[in-house]
Amino acid sequence: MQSKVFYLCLGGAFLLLALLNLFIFSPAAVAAGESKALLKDLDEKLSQGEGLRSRSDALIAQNKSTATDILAVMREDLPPDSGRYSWALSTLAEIALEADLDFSVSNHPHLRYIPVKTRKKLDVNSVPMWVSYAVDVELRVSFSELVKFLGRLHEAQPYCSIAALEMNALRSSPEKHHILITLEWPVLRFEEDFEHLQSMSVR
Amino acid sequence: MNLSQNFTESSGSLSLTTLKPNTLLKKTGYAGFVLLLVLLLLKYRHDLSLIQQGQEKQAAWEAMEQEAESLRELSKTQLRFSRGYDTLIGWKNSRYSWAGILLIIKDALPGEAQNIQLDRLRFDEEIVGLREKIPGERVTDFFPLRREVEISINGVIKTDRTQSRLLEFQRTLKQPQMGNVSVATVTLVHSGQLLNKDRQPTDLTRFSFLLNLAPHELKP
Repeated sequence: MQSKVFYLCLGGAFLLLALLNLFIFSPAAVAAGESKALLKDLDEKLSQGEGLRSRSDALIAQNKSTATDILAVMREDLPPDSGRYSWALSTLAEIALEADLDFSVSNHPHLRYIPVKTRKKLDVNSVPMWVSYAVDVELRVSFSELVKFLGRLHEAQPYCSIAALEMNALRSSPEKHHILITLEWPVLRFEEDFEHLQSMSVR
Repeated sequence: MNLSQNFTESSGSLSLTTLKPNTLLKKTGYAGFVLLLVLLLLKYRHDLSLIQQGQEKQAAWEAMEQEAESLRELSKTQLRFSRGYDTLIGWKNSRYSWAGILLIIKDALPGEAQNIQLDRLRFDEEIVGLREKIPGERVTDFFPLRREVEISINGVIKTDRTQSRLLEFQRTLKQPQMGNVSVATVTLVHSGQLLNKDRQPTDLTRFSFLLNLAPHELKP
């Protein structure tokens, strides 16, 4: 009787083990096998990608530095996003006053760049970050006064280009000329570039 | 009647111990079971650890993929920023010094100052790649940026040696210039003697020149 109970218990225990193996241990072994293959594959990839974090940190630092430089130029020497005309007027007035010249300033009537017609599927890196903001300046000055004004402008406004100039002789006063100058400064093409620059500079 | 009884009858107490479950067999059975259980449990534990490692690496890989994506974005941003900054610096450095250019033109005028008068001087600089050159041109692919200038000069000169004076002006302007300015081409577009009210030729000649300055690269 005892032996029957013993063999029955032993058999039951082995049966239990077999069942455990069938439903728990074997699926785990299969999953572990897959995991092993995955580990082998991922270990290689992960070791290749280990430098990502340091590259990412380096890029963030680089972006921050470039964004700060660009924003510094924008703050110091370029027309602001709003109130460009009054900025240009006051900037030019300062220079003209130094040279004791009368002048008038107006916004240039046409765009001096190609606007982007659609942003759909546009790779922003295919277009320059900058477009031009242009104003027309009218002067009645002598040749030497004009040269002085242009020289002073070149020095005082390092990003201001003389985009166009028309000088006509004045019949009424031969010493003076009627001068129409178009000046242009670079300004950001897209508003999001400014937001991007600001967010990068404070990272 | 049965086998145990037969054995009992023939061989006594020795046969009785043989018939009971053997302690060694019992122990072996237990040991076998325990050993198998332990082995299976150890294997299971090892498998679980492998599965966990796999899950961890998978999570690390997914995080790395996200990081790679953000790195791609950062690289694009860096490209835009660095190109933008280069363009800005190029914008500054590629500017023509117009005060200097006007003086060069003035100094190149032939003959006495009182014998020559410029009626009109004009130019319209083009930043190629920023402004439309041909109507209907594609709106993208703006690079490279380059400043190009054509200056037109109209005037009147008082001389009896018109041709040589105008050639002298042309020659002087073509000479290597100061600073970052050089004149690429000088073309005499038109020259014609002015007539008086009796339609007789005078010593005054109206002329017009076109000057092309050497382009300045703004953003290579």
